[in-house]
Amino acid sequence: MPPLELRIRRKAQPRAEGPPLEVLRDVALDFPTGSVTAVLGPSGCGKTTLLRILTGLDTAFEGSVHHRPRRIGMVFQEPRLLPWRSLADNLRMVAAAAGLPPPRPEALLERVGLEGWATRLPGELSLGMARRAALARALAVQPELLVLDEPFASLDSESAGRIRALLAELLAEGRTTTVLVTHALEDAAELAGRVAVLTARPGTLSALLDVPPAARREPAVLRAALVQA
Amino acid sequence: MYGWLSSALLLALWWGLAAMLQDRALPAPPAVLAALRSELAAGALLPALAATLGRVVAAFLLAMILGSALGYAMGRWRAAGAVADPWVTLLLNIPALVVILLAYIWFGQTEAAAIGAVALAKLPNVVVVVREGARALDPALDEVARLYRFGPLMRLREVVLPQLAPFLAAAARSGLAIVWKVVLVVELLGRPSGVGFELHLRFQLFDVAGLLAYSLAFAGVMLLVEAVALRPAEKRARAWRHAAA
Repeated sequence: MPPLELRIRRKAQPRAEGPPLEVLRDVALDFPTGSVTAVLGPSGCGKTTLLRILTGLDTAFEGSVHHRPRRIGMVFQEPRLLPWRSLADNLRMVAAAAGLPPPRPEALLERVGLEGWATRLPGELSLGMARRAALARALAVQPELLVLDEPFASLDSESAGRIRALLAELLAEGRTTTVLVTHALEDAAELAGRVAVLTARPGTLSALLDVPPAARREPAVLRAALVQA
Repeated sequence: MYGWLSSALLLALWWGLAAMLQDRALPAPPAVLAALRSELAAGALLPALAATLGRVVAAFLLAMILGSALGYAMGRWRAAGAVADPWVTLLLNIPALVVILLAYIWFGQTEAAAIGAVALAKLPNVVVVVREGARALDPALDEVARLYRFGPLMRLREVVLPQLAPFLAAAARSGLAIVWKVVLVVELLGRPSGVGFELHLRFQLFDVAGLLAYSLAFAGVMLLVEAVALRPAEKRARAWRHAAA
């Protein structure tokens, strides 16, 4: 499978007044199958926009995306579960839409630490639990591309820990191309195989480097490597 | 409790006033009850109720389906909204009576003209309510549906309709109340059957007891429809909201 190929020449956001706001410029990235890429950068540098372009949710940009896989799982910053459906139904629904045989929602929910919650409605969950459920939903489509937008932001430590452990396990399998937006260098160092760094707005690619193995235990190694780059 | 008390008070007022006036124009409750019983015994009441109910249901469904589709389109697509807006505004401000008269003149005093006219009188109200609902649809959930490649049917059933449900319920509730009153008018003006036709007859005979008997009987039917059909449906559609505590 050829790598997922992202080429953004320019992405501008129209504004109510004044000229369009330039969000991204000259970002060219390849995502080999099974790779795990962390996207780092200051707030407002277009990280989320980059994910939206990558997944096809945003098509109003200059550039192209090639070899985008069919089955994409995404964890948005907000959980975005359908509030009128049980967790199990939320999972079943996306699998059905992807043309997959009915999944076992209980097993998927157990993986994210939500055993026994299958028949509950999303409104009964805390933010951390809901984001874990959203991750279970993303996994329910057996994604070829998994996209995570700040998966650890404003989570309790239990939820963050659960997600981190699950991701590490999943990513070790090396089948799913994964793109992860984060603020925290530590998360990038722990989970990602490589790191793409964006500049402040308009975001351009300022560095792309492989995470040194030593950085897994000592994130400072990654920081040093980034400073050098 | 207060509801029952206030209903009893209304009945007492009516009864008292009728007893005081002793006039054909205001028969007392027992006279109305007697009229109801004799119409029922003569076999006239039930067919009239059935004919009117049939027209109410047909016009109601027609208005709800067409109005929802149009309102959704207007709320979702700016161009559709801009094009259809003057039409809807015009229709909103034409009295139902005018619509009925024109329908009878243009299409004859037929069943289709009668039902169509009632549906048309109700339509703009549904459009306006559902349009608001469509404008309030959550774009975030729309993106979820796109990302996970929901088909059009699944998107409608799982994403759009649950969000529109409160608006549809509001349109249905106010709609039913309008529709049945307008149906009585189309029947009065040009149908040979139904409660409206019977009302017309009683009016000409100055039979106020019969008039009240038919009106109250049909009002009772509509209250029943609301209690057994509309309210439970509304409750079901809202059930998930109570989850977030």
